[in-house]
Order: sequence, then structure tokens, then C-alpha cells
Amino acid sequence: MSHEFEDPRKKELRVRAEAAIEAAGHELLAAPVPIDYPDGTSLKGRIRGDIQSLDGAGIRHVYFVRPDSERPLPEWIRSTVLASHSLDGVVVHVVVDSVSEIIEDGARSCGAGLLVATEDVTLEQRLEPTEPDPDAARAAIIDRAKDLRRRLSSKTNLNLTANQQRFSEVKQLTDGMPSSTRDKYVDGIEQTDRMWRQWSERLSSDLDRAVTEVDGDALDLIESSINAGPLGIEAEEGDVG
Amino acid sequence: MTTEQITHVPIERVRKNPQNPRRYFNEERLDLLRTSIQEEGILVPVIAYRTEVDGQDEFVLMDGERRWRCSIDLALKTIPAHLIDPPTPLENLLKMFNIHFTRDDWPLISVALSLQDVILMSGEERESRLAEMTGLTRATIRRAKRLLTMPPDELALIQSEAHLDRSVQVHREDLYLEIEAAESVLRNALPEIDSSFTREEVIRQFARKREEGHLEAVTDFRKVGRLVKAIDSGLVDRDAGISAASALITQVELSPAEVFDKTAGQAYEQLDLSRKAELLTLQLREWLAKAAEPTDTLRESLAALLAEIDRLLGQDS
Repeated sequence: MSHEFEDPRKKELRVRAEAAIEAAGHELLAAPVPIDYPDGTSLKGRIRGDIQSLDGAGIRHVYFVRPDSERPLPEWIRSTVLASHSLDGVVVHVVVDSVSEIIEDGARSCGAGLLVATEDVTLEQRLEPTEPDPDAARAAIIDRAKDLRRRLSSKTNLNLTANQQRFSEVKQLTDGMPSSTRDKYVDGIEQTDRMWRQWSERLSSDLDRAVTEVDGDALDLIESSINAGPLGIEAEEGDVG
Repeated sequence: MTTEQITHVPIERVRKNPQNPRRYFNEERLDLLRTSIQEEGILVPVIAYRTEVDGQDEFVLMDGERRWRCSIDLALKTIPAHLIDPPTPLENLLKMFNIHFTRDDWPLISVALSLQDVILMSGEERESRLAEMTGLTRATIRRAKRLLTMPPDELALIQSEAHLDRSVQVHREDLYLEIEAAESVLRNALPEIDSSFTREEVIRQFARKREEGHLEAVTDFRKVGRLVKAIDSGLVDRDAGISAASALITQVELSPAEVFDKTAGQAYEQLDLSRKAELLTLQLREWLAKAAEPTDTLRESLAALLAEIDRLLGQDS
């Protein structure tokens, strides 16, 4: 499998994890094998992970390598882990090189195993993979977070598309103007794009954290932020998103 | 160029564009996109052109490398694509610039290296024309060209860290732009420095200051310009200034701020005090001309000022 795009921090952790998995007696797969989601799931794609292994009992272990354990477990991994509980013979782990409260809570909330790569080529099992806690409050938070994420995504994409349209018209709009004027216009477009992307990424991470911490108040704040947009101005009728 | 309908292309037949300089993707920044694709699929098709390798169709990306990367992680079987006609190498490169207009996705080093390819392929060097072709601003083109003058080893260091968050990068583009400006000022103003040190040496030594933690900020190197100005204007003795500049280069542990403070800092402070004294003198003369009676507060302030002046000039008040 090509790791050409891999962040070197992730690569380093992945290599250590692979060595530890083999040392533990598992059969390490050369490349992860995609596993279909259980029937009835609406998730796109398949279960893959960064590493897969088979233990002596033929159980397939799927590992997600996360080099930054200070960030909450993202929604896509949570969803994958939750779906995997309906599959026989598949268990999912998150691999980190240090434990934080946020990553531990995230793994616990969806029932993922949590493994910590140690200096001496082992993986310390911090949490066993288990069925997620059927907490009604968490379920409500998850649903609300999903809805907010859709709104966030929609608002961001609409505004990025509108901005991209402005960029495609630059030549036409700035025809005949001094190059310094054109440059200022392009700078403005780039800054707008950057602003929307950074705002969106920040709120996405906040959503992940709110779900992990079952924090309804945080979701209220996030909702206000989504309504206000990156400039902090409440959307008026006619505004995009 | 023609655009066909959406084609669902097998993931394993997709290739990244050789002209897209981006090598690494920050994992966390992709999480939002992975979540979105997992829930809703790929809503915006990628753009690619078809090519043939060993008798099999392959699809080279023009736009959508992040979506493709996330599709691999999510083990999607196919990816929706708008297929376009294969571009020439220069067209390919220019399209990469104009499609990826958010330069925030491209570190300056990536922009610079791709710009270098555009210059080589097109033979065009004029900033205005390069700006039109690539969609970059002229300021960005200037900065990119300045970065390209760095020695290859330094460029390699910048590239090796381009994927990291700025907060953890040591060899940042802005560091080297400051170093380039400082080195250039030294070399142009002080021929003695030019004859004693090669450009590569100076740049390496300055970079080491950052590597070994002797800088407070990359903008510390702007003090070099102020030092040179002080030497040029006679505020600092030329020999002392050259000696200070040499020490700045040879002694990695010395920061530009330290050297500046020791050599020119005091001189600038005195210049500043001198200007303030002139201004105050002028104001007092104007005030005296009005023959107004000073208040007690003013008398006390001026007496305190006089006491300090007497101390400075070594006289009893």
C-alpha cells in the first residue's frame, strides 16, 4: 500500500504499531482489506483502517492510527466503530502514542479499543473494544451534532462555491485595472476562502469534542457560531447559507 | 478542453497529478472531509484526465486530491469525476495553479517550486505576466522567487516540514525570507562581509540560530537592516559595525537583537533622546514667547528634568 501522502508523524506511529502487533503474535496484513458495513447502514464506503491484523482465533483487528491524541476522535471513526459492532469477527482499535482524556472518552463512547504504543515495541491496551454505552443523552447529542454538521458543511460549501465563482471572474472584472488592484482583489478572495475553511475546520473539531463530552451547552454555542458565520454576524435573509 | 458527464472511476485507477506539489495532508484537517463523504458521499466530482498505462486506463487528477485521499481512507470503490482532455505539461501546471486558487492549501515552498517549473517551461519571467498566467498575486510571485534563491539544502529543509502545523515548524518560509533580506542587506552594504563569508555560509549560520533556539522571533533579523543603516549613517563606527556583523555570523548563539542592542541600540536611543530634547526645546521657546506664567506642576516637572540633565552632563544641580 502506498503511504506516499502519509504525515510523517502518523507514519512513525504506524510503523511502531505494526512492529508491536507482529511481536504480539498477530498476522499483520500487507494492506488493509475493505470490509463491507452491515446491512442497513447508510454510511458510504467500507471499513478499512490504517492497519489490519488477524489473531490466532481468526478475528480481524482494524486499527486507526491517530498521531495527535489531544484532538477528539472524529465523527467518521466513531461511526465506523459503532457500525463494526454489528459485524462478527471484527474489532476496531484506536492507536495513539499518549493518552488524553478526550481521546479516551471518545474511544469509550463508541466502544473502540484504545492502544498506546510504548517505547519498547508493545501496545498497551488502555481500553478493550466493547459495546458502546447505550446512553440516551449521548444519542440525542449525536443526532443533534449530525444535524449541525450538515448545516456547517452546507453553509461552508455554498460560500466557498460563491467565492470560487468570484475568482473565476477575476480576469473579466479586473480587466484594465492596475495590477495592484487585481492583486488586492485576489488577496481578498484568498483570505475569504481561508477564513471559511479554518472556521469550518475549527467548528468540526468542536463538534467532535462536544459529542465525546456529551456537552449540550457546547452544541448551543456551536449552533450560534454556525448561524453567525466566520465574521460573527447573524445571517440575514438573502445571505448565502 | 471538453467536459464530459460524470464518470464513476475505480479508485485504484486514479493517480495524483505529478505537477501537484503537495505531498502531505494534515490528518486532522481531512477529518471533516472524511466525515462529510462518509455521510453524504462525494458531492462535487473531481476533475481528471484519462491516460493509458500498460494498456489500462488511468485517471490523473487535476482537482480533488483531498477527496480522492479521503475516498481511499473510507474504502470507496469509485469516485465521481469530470473527465477533461489531457493537457500539455505547461497547461497542466497552469491549471493546477488556477484550480487550486486557495494558496493556503499550498505552502509557499510548493508554490515556489511549481512557479519555477512554469518559468522554465514558458520562458516567462515577468511578474505581471506570471501573475496573469497563474492567478497568483505579484507579491506572492516576488516572495516565491526570493525563496527559490535559497541554497538547495535549505529548500529541502523547508519542504520536509511543509506539512506540519506552523507552530511546530522550525524551517519556515517566513524565516528564510527574513534571512534572505538580512543576508542581502549585509552583502550589499558591507563588502567586507561579502569577501569573508559565502552566501551559503551566512544563510546556514542564520538558520542555525533558529534551529538552536537563539531567536525570539523570525523578525529579529530585521535588526540587521537597522544595524546596517546605523553604520551607513555614521551612528555606529564602521569597523565596530563590521566586527559586530561578523560576530553575528560566526557566533550562532548571538541573536540579531543582542548584536543590535550592543552596537547600535544605544546610538539609536541617544538619537531618539536628542530628537525629543530638540522638540521640547522648541516647545519651551514657543511657550516662553507667549510669556505665560508656569503652573506649579510645570515648574516641578521642569526642575526634575533639569536635575536629570545635570546628572547626565556630570554637573551639580
